[in-house]
Amino acid sequence: MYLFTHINSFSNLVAEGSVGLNFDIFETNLINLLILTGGIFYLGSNALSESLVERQQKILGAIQESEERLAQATQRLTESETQLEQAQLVIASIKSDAETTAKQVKSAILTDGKAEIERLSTVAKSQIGTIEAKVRKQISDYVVALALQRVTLQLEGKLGADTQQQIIDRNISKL
Amino acid sequence: MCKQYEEQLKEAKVGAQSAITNAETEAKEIVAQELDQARKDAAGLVTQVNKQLDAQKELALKQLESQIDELSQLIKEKLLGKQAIL
Repeated sequence: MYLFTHINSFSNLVAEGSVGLNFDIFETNLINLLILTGGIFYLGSNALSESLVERQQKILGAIQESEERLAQATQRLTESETQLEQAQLVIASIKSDAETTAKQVKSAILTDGKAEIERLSTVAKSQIGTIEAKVRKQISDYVVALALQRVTLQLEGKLGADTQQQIIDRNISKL
Repeated sequence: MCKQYEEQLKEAKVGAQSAITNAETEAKEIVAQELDQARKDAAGLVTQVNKQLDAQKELALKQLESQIDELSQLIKEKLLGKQAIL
């Protein structure tokens, strides 16, 4: 609204002839202005150009650096993935080895235990055999001792000197 | 991330050692129980056999009582000769 008002005022001034274009080159200092503009353009273009080139190089450098970082990150990601795979393989191997070792350890202990139980069984059987033999000998000794005791009782006082001599002679002749 | 892998590896190693230890403990417990039972069985068997042999010994001695006279006769025959006995 404010701008519209000014434009309207300016239009009125143009229409009244108070405002207009001055085409007099010397009056308007057009040459000076052109020289000044040219000088500024000449002097400023180099600085601007250098600034733009520098900025462009900075941007390019930043882009290149970003690309390098991206490449490094990608490489690190690949390396990490490889490490992850290797770590998972190692973990699987460790678990597998542990299961195998556990089975072997358990089997070895059970085998040793079984052998120990068999040894105990053998010892018990041997012990029983020894006891049986001992009992047989006790029975045999007892029977023989009792029989000899009865013979001794039966013959006691019944054997004369001649009979005793005959027995001795006969037994000697059997030798 | 590398630290995380190392942690996983460490856990795997600890787990593996734990599995081996558990298997060893379990097997030892089984063996200990079976050995204990075997020792008890063996001791019981020996005791039982001892009792049975004592009983059989008594029975055998009673049964052999009748044969002791025959044995005495044989001893006398060997000692004196058959003719002397008759």
